[in-house]
Amino acid sequence: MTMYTIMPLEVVTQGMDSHKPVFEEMNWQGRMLLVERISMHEVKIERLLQGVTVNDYLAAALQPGNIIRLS
Amino acid sequence: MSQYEIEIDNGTPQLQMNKVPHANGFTSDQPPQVPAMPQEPMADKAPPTVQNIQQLGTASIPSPGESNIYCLNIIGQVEGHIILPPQNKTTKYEHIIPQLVAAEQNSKIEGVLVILNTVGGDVEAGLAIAEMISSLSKPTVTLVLGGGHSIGVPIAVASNISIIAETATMTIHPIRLTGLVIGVPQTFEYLDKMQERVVRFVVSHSNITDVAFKELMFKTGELTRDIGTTVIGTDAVRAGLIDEIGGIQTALQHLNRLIEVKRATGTTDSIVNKKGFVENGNIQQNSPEGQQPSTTLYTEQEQSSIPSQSNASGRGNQI
Repeated sequence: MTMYTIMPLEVVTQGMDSHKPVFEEMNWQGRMLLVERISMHEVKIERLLQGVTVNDYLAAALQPGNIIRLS
Repeated sequence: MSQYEIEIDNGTPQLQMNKVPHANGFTSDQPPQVPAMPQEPMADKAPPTVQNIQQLGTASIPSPGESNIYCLNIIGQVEGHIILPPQNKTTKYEHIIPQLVAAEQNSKIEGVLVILNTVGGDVEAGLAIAEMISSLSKPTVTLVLGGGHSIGVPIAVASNISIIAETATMTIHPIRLTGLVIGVPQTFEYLDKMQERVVRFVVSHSNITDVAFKELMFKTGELTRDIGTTVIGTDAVRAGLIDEIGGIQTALQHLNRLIEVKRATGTTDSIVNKKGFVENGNIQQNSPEGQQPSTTLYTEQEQSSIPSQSNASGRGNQI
C-alpha cells in the first residue's frame, strides 16, 4: 500500500491494530451480500458481492451502509 | 460459502447462518447504530411485494431512477487494499468500481457526474478509479468541491470536463512513505516510479505540462509539513489542471451538453481533446461560479448539433 494523501500517516493508521470487524456472507433474495451483524435481527450491508444483474450495484437499497431487518 | 437462509414457509422466520470472520476485516462507512432507512417488522406470511416493501422499503428492487445521470461521490480517504481504521471517512475501491461498470452498461444512464472532496489515499485504488472514469464511453464531468488533494488530482482530471469550485483546493505534493527521510535508494526509486504514474496520468488527461506539474509538486515554502503546492480554484484552472471554475450548475450544464453531443454523433471521441486544447493555446478563461463559461469546450461542428448553443469557439478548434 502506498498512501498518497495530505493526512499525516499516523492519523490515518491510528487504531489500525485494534480495528477488526467481523463480516458474514449472506444470501439475500438471490444476491450475495457481505454484511455486518449489528443486532439480533439487523445486519448492515458492507458490500454487494454478487447481484442478479449488474444493475444491482446501482440499487439504493443494496448500497453499503444500508440496514436489512431480518425479522 | 456460508449464508443466511430465510425460511418463511412455516410461518416462522428462521435464520441459519455460519460466521465467516475475516482476519483483516472490512471497514464500514457509517456507525452501526444509524439506520439507513426505516424498516417495518416483517410479517410472517406477507406476499412477496409486501415483503419487498418491508425489507427494502420499495415495492420492487429499485431501478436507477428517472435521471439519466449517475452521480458518484468520492469523499474522505480513497481506500484500496488495506482497511483503514474507522476514524477515517473512506471511499472504497470495491464499492466504486462495480458502480462504474454498472453505469457503463446501463442503457438508461447517459452521463456520469463525479463529485470529489477527498484528502487523497491509496495510489493503486485512486489510479484505478481514475482509469475507470477516463475509459467510460459515456460523458463524464468531475466537480471538485472542498478539496481534491493528492490522489484526488488524477481522479479530478480523469473526466471529459473537470470543474472546480472557486474555494476548492488541490494539494500537489510528492509521494512518500512517512514524510521523513527516505532510507535507501531503492525506496526512493520505487516511490519515484509510483509518482511517475500519477504525473503521467495527470499530464495526459489535463492541460498542464509535465514540467509545470512537477514544479508545483516540488515547490518549497508553500506547505508547512511538506514540499508541494496548494492550488485554489482559479489557480488550478490557470495551471491547466482543471478546465473551469464553477459549481453544480456548471457541471450539469456541461454534462447535459455532452450527452446531447453523444446522442447526436454517437461518440465522445471528438468532444474534448485536452491535449489539442493545449496545443492550440486556447486557454479557458476563468469565470465566476454560476455564470455561463465565456468560452466553450466544444467544436463548431458539435455546437451545430445543439440549437441552444450560440457562442461557438474554444477547445478543439483549429485556430
